[in-house]
Formats: sequence, structure tokens, C-alpha cells
Amino acid sequence: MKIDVEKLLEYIGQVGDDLVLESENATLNAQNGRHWSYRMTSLAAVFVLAAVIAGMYFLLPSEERFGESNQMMFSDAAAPMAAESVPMATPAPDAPPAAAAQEDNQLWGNNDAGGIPIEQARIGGGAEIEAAPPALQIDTPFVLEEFGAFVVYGFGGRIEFHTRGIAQEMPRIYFEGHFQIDQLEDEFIHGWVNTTQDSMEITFIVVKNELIMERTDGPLGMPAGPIVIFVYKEGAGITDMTLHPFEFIEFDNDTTGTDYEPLEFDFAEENALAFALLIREAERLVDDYLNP
Amino acid sequence: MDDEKILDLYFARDESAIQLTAQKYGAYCRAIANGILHNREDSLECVNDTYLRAWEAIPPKRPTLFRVYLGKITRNLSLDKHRWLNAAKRGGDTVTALYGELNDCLPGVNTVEAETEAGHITQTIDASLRRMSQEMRLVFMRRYWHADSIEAIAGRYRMTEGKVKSMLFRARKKLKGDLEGEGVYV
Repeated sequence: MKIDVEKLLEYIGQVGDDLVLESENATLNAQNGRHWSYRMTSLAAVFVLAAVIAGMYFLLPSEERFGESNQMMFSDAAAPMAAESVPMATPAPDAPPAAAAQEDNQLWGNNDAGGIPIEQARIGGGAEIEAAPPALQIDTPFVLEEFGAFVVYGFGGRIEFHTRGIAQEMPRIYFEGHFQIDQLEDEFIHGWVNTTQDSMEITFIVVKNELIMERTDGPLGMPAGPIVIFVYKEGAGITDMTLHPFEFIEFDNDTTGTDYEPLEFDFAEENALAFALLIREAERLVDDYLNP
Repeated sequence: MDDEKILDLYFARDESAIQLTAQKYGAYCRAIANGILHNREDSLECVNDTYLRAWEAIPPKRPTLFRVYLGKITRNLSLDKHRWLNAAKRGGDTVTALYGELNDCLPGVNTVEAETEAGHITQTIDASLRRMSQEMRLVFMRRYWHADSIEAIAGRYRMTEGKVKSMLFRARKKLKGDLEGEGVYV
């Protein structure tokens, strides 16, 4: 049977009176009563989010920059920490040239024209990210034991990740990029990400083993360019990661931003080749990282 | 005055029942209507019609939750009004009239089969909502029952608007899945 939206609204209107009363009277205290697993998945999401931002570096259009990004991720500023916590990694000895850093700033919008200063970068109002330009350091425990890399084309999508308990060690992640996370509450991580095109708002949702990146505000259309997502732990292999086809959120011109519908995005038709190349590149980077 | 006494007045066919209803629940009903119609005059019209419907239905009906009962009437009337206004915008009065006339040719919607289907869909929605977390259910109900704005919901529950949108997105997906599982497609 097929019903239209108006009918659906009518049917919603007929739900139990107790549900209506509840919606009128109930209050929420989002921080209380949450199962610990939600908090743990949130923690995991912080790490994945940081990894996403690491991948944001690859949004830069230049292939040359893309190729040297492995070095950029482990610049001088971060190298000692990388060597200490992730012995397998061989940090690149050279810091990026000043000109490249300046270019970074321009590309990432870290300037007076509306970019988000590094100093504002903060996770969940709690753990502060130490600003150590040109590489940033995030020192956050995470619970993933898998290692993997993804390339996400555009924004939005769903990544399934599985955990095998809480890691005893506390790995570190190093990344390039400027971002701000302005809220961390339970399964939601709310983040602002500057891209080479526009600043936009992305909501990261973690539900059990799923991380959903949902673009919740911003200009119409999608930014082009890959986001490489690294999730890793020392000594672990690439296991058990699934990249699902994406559902993009498209906004109309409604200024309230509420009237949006998910769009199916067909990778196979539109970006299969680009996607495959990016995946291969990501795998190469991961391989380089594991086997320096 | 408590609801039982007001209902007693309805049963006694005392017209002061309407006045008391308006005093107690007028603002509540106006908020629901205005959330859907965004127009003061249209909302007032729906609220007044709500009183009339209540007057016609009580007795014999004696609602258990009078407030919710009124809210549901207001909501349905507002949706009808909204639908009518949109039809008028799309096609003008002539087409609206044609639709209205042709509607008489369609099989009656109040057949037993139609009512059974409607009841089944409502039950599915009801069950789906109950399976959601309370947080998600509240957000969903505020949005799609009360027609609150995203901003209002965010303020009410101290969430960001982004979080509200995301929860609604997920709630819609859940509901869609549950409906499709029952063979209902939107």
C-alpha cells in the first residue's frame, strides 16, 4: 500500500495519547541515563573524527600535495610524539616549507576571511588539541583495534566500524588540517570543517558501530575532493571495515534549513574510477605507513 | 476547573463548556494550529472549529484525555485547512472545486477495509515510536505531531539544531523501515 505524506501526517496524529502527553510534559537530560557504551562509541568517534580531519588534508587539489601528504602528517612538530607512541611509523624528517604552510592556511581558510583558527580547535569542550603548527596533535584515547583507511568522496556517508573491546594502549594520531569541534554529546559529535570551497557544518553521529557523517548545513551542492579517513592502531591489520554507499543530504533554499531529503548517490556511475584510484592511493599510504 | 467538570457541562449541554474549554485549552490549540498554518486567522478558525467538533461529539464520547483529544482535533483540522490552502494555491478555486466534486465518485474512505488499514498503519507508527529512544521519540513528536520548528525543539531540549535535524533524519529512516516492513510505502 502506498500513502502520501499528508496521510502519513494524519496517521501520526492518531498515535497513542500517552505519546502525545509525553511529548508535552517530558524533559530531557541528555547527559544522564546514557549507557556507557554510548560514551565509549563517542570516544571512538572522536578518534575517527580526528582521522577524518587528517584525511581532509587530501582535499587539497594538487596531486603533488596529495603525494607528499604522508610526510606532512608527520612534520617536525609532531615527529617526536609519533616516534614515541607509534614506533612502527617513521616520521618524515622534513617539515613542510613555510610557503606550503602558508598555502595551507589559505586553502583551509585559516585566515581573517572566516577560517577557524587552530587555537580554537577543541574537542568536546574538554580535551584540548595542542596547537603545534603545521601539524596538530590530538592526544585522545580511542577504543578501536582495527587499522584501516578509507577515502570518502564528498561529504556524508556511513562508515561501519567494529570494535573488539577497549584498547589498553593509547595510540596517538597526528594530522594536518584546521577544524573545530564545538560539541560532543553522547552519540553526537558536532563539527565544523573548513574545506577548500566553503565552510560547512557536518554532524557526526555514532550509533553503536556506525559513524554517520551528515552534512547539516551549508551551501548547496557538494564539495569535490576526497577525505581520507585513517583508523589505526599499532600492530593491527586492516580488518573489518566497510564503506557503504553514501546518502547525501541536499538542502533546498529554505532558509530554515529544515526541508531536506537524503539523496542516493551512485558511486558506480559517477565516480567509480576516481574512487578506485583514491582507495588505491589510501592503501598505498597505509602500506607506506606500516612498512616504512 | 478540571476536565471532568468541563465534560460534565458538555454532557449537560451547557454552552459555558465551550467558553471554559477555550479558556483552558485555547492557547494550546492555537499553538498547534499555528505550528501548521502559520497564519493567525486560519489558526483561530481551526480552533473555533475544534470547539464545535467537540461540542458535536461530546456526548456521547467522553474523552479520557480531554487535552489530547482537543489537540488531535485541532491538528486534523489544521492539516485539512493546510491541504485546502495548498490546493487552492496550486490550481485555484476551480480545480479545487473539481477535486471536491470528483472526490464524491471515489470509493468511500470510511469503509471497513479503509478503517482497518488506517488502524494498522497507525499501530505501526505507534509501535515504531515506542521502539525509539525517548529522546528521539520526543523530538519526532514535537516536530511531526506538534509541528514545532527545529529551533523550538532545539531550545526545548537544549540541543543544537544540527542534532535535532540528525535525530529527525534517523527517526524518519527508522519509521520508513518499519512502515515498509509492514508493506506501507510513503
